[in-house]
Amino acid sequence: MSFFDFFTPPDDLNLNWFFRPFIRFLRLLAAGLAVFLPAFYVAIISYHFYIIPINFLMPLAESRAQVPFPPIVEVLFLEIMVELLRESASRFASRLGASIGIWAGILLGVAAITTRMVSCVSIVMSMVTLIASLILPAYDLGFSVRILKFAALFFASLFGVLGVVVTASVTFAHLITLESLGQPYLQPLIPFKLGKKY
Amino acid sequence: MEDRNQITAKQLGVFILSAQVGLGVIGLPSDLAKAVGHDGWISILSAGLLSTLVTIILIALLRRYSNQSIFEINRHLFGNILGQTINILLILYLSFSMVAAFRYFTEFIKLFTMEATPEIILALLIIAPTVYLSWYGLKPVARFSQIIFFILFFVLVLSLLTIKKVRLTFLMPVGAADLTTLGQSIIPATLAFIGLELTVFLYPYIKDKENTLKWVVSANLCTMVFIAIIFVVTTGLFGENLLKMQVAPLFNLARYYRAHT
Repeated sequence: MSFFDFFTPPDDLNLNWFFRPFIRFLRLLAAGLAVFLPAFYVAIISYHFYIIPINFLMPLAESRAQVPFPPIVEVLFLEIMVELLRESASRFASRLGASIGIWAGILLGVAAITTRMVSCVSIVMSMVTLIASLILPAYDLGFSVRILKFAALFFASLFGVLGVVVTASVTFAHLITLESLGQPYLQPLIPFKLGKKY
Repeated sequence: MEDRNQITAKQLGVFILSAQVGLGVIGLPSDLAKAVGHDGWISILSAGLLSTLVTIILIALLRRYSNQSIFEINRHLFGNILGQTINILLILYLSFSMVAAFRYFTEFIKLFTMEATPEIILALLIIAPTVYLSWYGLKPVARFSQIIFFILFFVLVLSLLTIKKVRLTFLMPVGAADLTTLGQSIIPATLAFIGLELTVFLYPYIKDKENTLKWVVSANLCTMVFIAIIFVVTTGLFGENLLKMQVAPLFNLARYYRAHT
């Protein structure tokens, strides 16, 4: 079991060779977004807002100006709400769970925007994070992604983009030190190997 | 314990590449422009060839004491007292170069991203991945340094994006500097190739010693080509006189590029 096996479930092998890399890179992108998107958002909004293009900065500033909280509180509120929703949806019976998720999501999102507790861009960001973390196939990976998201968020709120980079490199370092059954965990990428794996 | 310190010759090459292309490359073009002007690429090439020669001599010498580290070789050659003194000097050199590079890195980050954060906190944050990796031994460190290829790729893409604005007339009178200034400028150019001496310390940990020469020399040549490309692009973009005034030309190269909006 290596890291990239999480992104290639066995039924992918029945797919066309042309679609398989596409969907694999989509899942890798989803994992990256699910961990680092809220952290990058907080870091850029609170420290490095000058890298946003000016055409986008103005609507962003307009929607941010009505919110009384600092970005980290806003994003933390949204992320905790999303985690609560996910957890409650998995507790209920399946049909009820889906409808509760939809109703709570729509109602809470619209109400949070109209009461100006959160800005619209934060809602977009946190929904993208939720969708990206729902794409990941394995429950174990999803769990560590959810924990890492909060760690990255914490360091991003303290140190900006540098905190995100340090979190990423500590995570990467940890993945490098891991071995499963004597094989390196990031097998085809880090001891770089070309060729057939199956 | 034995196993996690063993590396292959290829990993050693990558490790040396990542040690050479470090922070030095950020400030190197302006140092060279101060020393020789627009002919810096000649001194980079000659420094690269010189350091390749040094590599070949080092590895040929190390081959005679096949499985010993430099510390044992020193004691073997110079006797106990003198050998241990040289060993202590070597260890001091390694610690000093580590601390100097780390301090430079901290200062750089403080200058360009986090102006108000105190340095000690930045330093504690930055050193965390290093401590974590070196806790687990040499092999993960050597594996982690493969990340250098992403950085090289990024910088090469950046120089490709700005290549339209590069004016070759800035480089044009080739060999305008006389030979003595060229010869003196090899010294700042050689600073970019520091990292080579790690071969001496890591040689006993290599699994396949017969491939060492190949990989270390190719790492060295890779560094040479990369730094020469960076120098040519920054000089062609900013010109010699503007380059002399900059602190971090590579950083300014990244700032210079604007995407089409």
